[in-house]
Amino acid sequence: MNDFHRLAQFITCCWRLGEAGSDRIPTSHGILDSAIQQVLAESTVPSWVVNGLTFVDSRIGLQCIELPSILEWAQRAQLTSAPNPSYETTEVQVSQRLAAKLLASLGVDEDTAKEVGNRLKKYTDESRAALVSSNHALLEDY
Amino acid sequence: MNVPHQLRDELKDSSPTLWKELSARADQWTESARTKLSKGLRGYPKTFNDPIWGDIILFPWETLFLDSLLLQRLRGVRQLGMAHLVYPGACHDRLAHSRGVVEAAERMIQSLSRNARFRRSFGKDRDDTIPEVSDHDHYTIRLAALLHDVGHGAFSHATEQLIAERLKDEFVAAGRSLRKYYSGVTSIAAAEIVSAIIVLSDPLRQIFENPNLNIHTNRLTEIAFSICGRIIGSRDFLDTGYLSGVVSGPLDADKLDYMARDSHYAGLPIGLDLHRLISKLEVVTVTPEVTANTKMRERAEASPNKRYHEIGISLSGLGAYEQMIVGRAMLYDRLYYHHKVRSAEAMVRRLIELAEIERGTRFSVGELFFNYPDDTVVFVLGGRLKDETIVCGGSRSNQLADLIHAREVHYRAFAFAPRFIAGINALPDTQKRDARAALWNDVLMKLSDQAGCDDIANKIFEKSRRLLDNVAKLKKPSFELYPEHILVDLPLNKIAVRGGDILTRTEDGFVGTPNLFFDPEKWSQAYEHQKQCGFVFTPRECVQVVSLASRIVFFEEFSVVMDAGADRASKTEREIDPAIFQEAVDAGICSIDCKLAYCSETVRLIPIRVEDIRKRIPDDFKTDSVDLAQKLTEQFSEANPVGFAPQVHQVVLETIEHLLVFLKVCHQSGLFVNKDNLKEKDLQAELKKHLLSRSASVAEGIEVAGGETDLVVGGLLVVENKVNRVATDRPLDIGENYTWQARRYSIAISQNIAAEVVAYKPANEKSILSPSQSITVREVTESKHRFLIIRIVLPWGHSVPHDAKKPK
Repeated sequence: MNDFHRLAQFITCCWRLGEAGSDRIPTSHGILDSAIQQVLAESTVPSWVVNGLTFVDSRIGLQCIELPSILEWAQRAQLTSAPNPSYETTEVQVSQRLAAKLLASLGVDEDTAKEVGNRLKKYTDESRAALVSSNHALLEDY
Repeated sequence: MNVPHQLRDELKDSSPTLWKELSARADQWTESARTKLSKGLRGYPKTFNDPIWGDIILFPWETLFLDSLLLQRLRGVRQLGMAHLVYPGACHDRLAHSRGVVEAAERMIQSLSRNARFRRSFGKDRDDTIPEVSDHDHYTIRLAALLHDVGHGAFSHATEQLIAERLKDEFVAAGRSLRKYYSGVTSIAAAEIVSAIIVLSDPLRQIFENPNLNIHTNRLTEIAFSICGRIIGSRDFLDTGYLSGVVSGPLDADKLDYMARDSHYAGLPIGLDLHRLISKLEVVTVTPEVTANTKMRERAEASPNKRYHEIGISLSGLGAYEQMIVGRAMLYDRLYYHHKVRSAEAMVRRLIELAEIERGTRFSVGELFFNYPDDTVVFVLGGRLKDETIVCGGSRSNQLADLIHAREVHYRAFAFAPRFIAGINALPDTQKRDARAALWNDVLMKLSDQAGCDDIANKIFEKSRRLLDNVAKLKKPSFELYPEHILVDLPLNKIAVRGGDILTRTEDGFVGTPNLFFDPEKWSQAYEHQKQCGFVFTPRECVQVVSLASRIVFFEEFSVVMDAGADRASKTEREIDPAIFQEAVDAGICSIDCKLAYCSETVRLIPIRVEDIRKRIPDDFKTDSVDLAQKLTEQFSEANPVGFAPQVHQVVLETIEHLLVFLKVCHQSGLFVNKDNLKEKDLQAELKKHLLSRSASVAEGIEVAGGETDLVVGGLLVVENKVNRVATDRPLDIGENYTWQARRYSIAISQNIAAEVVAYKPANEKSILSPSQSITVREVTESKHRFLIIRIVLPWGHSVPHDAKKPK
């Protein structure tokens, strides 16, 4: 199985099973990159997830190298919507039932998925709040 | 700077095949350059006229490489693979592109150098610590630009994909080693890894470290590492930090040249404002105070003077940057992913594999880097031209090579995409999204690599052969059908790009990634997903049979039916007459379900909906606490989200109604209570009597698959009867072999659903399930093909509680 396929299923389905927060995954400004790194450091996740993700201190800060491909794959696999209208988030499209089923086929139990989903949501909220609080975080051309 | 010579040893160990074979090739390709240097001969500066950039001037040490096979073999390796078969002008090669990248890099360096001068003297955030461009950086960046594509083999990306899949572990290991010694590296393409290994190889090292090369740097041992760093987009081995992304980055010389060149030669105008993009490059000063990004702040804190410099773009250049990304999406859609281009590239990939089959061995990595142009490679693989070092040329390779040469490119026979999946539009939104995701995930998972595509192509080939042998109405091709005549292709972005992956700064010096109101990178991904589809390609004469075979295989493998939109995308509308489908059914090659789905007028598959079931449930069941209609609908939706062909749909619903009534009757009448023994033939007789009393069409004892079915309802649905004699409190889970028998008979009559009536002996009174708990629908997950079973369970042999009243 394609690695991006498994990782896309893992991230989107865990997000869906997370109990609180938005249905929309942030896709810009490195918010999700740092949240995933924090989750990997704190939660018990399958080794293929840990081994499949590489974090780099890049030109624009922390980047998970595989994340653009994973998010692109999630969209391609109909797990998430096209990132409209702001292009800053994408909506998880699968139901909790299908999410649980897809995770089960990956060998991930529902409790682990819920924990990962909850933490992902928590850390993305924190990253977003930090970004918005900075008055020079969003540079725009008028 | 410490030179990590151990990187070479690590690559040798972690990627031995790549290292050994590429080093051998590099040795051969640079022999003339080393000989010249050993004789004290140097290159000469040369000026080239180029349609994109005008004059391109190369330094003497650059022409030494240019005049060697290392670069000359790229003459004839077409930049756009097989696109010239569709866009006749698109014959430019990787050699011209490599020269163009040198010029683009030079202009970027000049622009950044000019901006650095301004920024040292002007502006609110002027910064006199911005370094000038060193000679070492300048010349190694130009060399990296010149050598960045030496990792490409024949037909550009076609061989890159083949090598990357075959040596996946070595590529992963090489990538890991490179990241260990180079910081800031994001994604690395397979061809970049090959280029990096060639640059680091001993033959190239001998050239770089030879003083006769006369390159204007005194750090000869660093040259190879600097070039490698630029090719993979690292910031290491660089004096001038803001030049790190010139050869490989979000806005790099490679992209600027290939977009301009591809568009020019293909005759496809796109919006690409080269001069604006280059002139708006900026040196960005990053200090802890000017960025909100944690990692960037940390890096600045750790840098000399608590600051570092990066490449960026002015806010006023963002429009041109967005325009470039949109232009690239258009190039992908109209040029790189044009269906004929994809077909031709798939034919070339298959030609390489076929040549390997016919000669009995795989090509080594070294062999796949041919020393001659793509057109010649086609003839060598087909055996029309002989290469004394590469044995090829069986009759089938020969025929396929001739087809490519004559531009007899395979046609579209079948199209597939999530938007074409039939039957799900009638579902509520949530269910529709789930159904589409569940079905498409199976397809995508299978076809996400070449092995999966080849496997499905082989299944279509086998099915086509059977159809040709058994269906008289099909048009027969004038030649024998072989596997190479069927190619399955699903375009996938190998590396997705991050939108806004470049720094920008405000007038007062704040630094960050731009806030793109309309992120064109994500837009282009969405555009591509919406528009692109997978295709099955075949020679024109085989379109009809392959179109039919593809429909059957996709139905069998993935339980999906593609709608009329797919037929329009593949231009196969009205290609298959229902009579042809019927012949295929009669020959046992196609299921009735599949035929009905494809031959109905409008909706081709109908899901089981809650209202369909609700009206068929006996009233007594509705008083139960469980919403049986909802439960069964959810189970159907999970097991088969897309539904059934119209006639099968009808029979399934009718059978459910008959079985529920049977269940009710058995429970109310106590039909099997207090029996010492229950024989299957008695259970079957009762069930048959019941079905006939409800005017159902029932057949009994049909001989199929080496046995006799119990009952077949409506000619479509097998109903198996089983009596379980061991007391149980989990009747819905017992007798796995019952299901397999039902499945065996069902497959024999070309169905993917069956029903089973299981009489169970309750372990105790509490083990007796209420009627609404006594029916379930589930997918047989162990089955290779999607298969559904409807099970109802009936208690037998239990005693009536002593205080129970006799039913009236």
